[in-house]
Amino acid sequence: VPRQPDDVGLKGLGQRIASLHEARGRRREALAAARAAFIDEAVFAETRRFSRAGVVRGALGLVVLFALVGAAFVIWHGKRWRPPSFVANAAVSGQAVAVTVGRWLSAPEMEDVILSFSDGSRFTLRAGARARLSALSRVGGRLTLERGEIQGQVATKDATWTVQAGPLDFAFSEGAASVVWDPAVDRVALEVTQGRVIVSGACVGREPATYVQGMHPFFDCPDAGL
Amino acid sequence: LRRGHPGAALLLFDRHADLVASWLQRILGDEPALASVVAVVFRRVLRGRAKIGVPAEVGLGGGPGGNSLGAAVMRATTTEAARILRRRLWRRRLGAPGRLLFSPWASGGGRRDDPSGGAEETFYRALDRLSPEQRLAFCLATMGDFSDRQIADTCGWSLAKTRARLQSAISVASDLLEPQCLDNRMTSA
Repeated sequence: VPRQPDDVGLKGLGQRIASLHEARGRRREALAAARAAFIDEAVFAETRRFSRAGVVRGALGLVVLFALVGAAFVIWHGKRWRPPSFVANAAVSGQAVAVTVGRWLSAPEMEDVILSFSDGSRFTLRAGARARLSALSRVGGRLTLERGEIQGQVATKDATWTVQAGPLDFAFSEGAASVVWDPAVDRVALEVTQGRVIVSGACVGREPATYVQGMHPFFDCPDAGL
Repeated sequence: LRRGHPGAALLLFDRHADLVASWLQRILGDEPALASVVAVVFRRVLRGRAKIGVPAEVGLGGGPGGNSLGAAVMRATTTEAARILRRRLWRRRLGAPGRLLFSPWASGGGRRDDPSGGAEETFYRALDRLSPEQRLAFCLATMGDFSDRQIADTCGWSLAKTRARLQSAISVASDLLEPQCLDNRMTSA
């Protein structure tokens, strides 16, 4: 059987509490304040073109919108952002030397020169080799090998590094290979130790040729004109 | 009122504000922001004024026969009271002291001007144990003599849900308030 408030005297107690509230009679000030607030916010708001709450809500909405657009821009830009250009350093005789574009590097007869870039890629000029850093960009760079052997290891597939040896270009990304150029006999040798290398130039025909890990072709370029 | 005449809104406030404040006090106990809650109730009524006009049985004053405008005011009052109660509940769940923060007996020892001898404090402490919906149903039934149907209409619940909430509220409150009920009966007698 459902219980009623009367069954346990709850109704009597509740009505007594209600009568206490009435007897206390403290509502006058609260009602005066409520009336003032009601007049200001509700009654006069009817005649306003924009209510105060509406303006506040609109301003908050704009702030939130700008914050979202800003966050989206930062995320988008952060994904696309790359360093403006790779920083190159060379280690010659154990000492670091900053390398700028256009600078020639010669490895001594008995020593290798290590050229390291800020993306983690490393090129080693074997003893006696000579090369020039001819270009640097956001997506890699270009090295011109004048003679000797250069061994390269590219750390990321987002960058493409090109070694120009005589009339040929050797482009490799995320891999390791060595290129030997002997201008005296116009011969270029390639050895791919990791990844793949795309070779283009006069000696390989119109289409670039791709060489993968384990291949070591030779290119004879007697008409290089160098 | 529907045409937005400021005088009508003020008239509505002046006619019903006292009862709205009275019901808010009964349901919420001592509420420090009573003035702003009353103003919010009337803003609710104004916002929903387009729907006013369907005759309803529930009116202010706790009995049947009220006009539809009074029913709308009462509905807005219970809706706002439920919102305040839910906010208190969340504050308590989040670790804030909630209602007790503002309660005159928060510091302990009861309030000085309590002529009920602590019954009021015990009553509202018991109400704090109820869910907002149970508390609404309980207050309307005990303090306003509302029938189940009137409570359902006022709060916008189904009759079955109203009865279930009221029964659970009575069950909890009767355990907690039994001595006060007995004392009240003896005082009345």
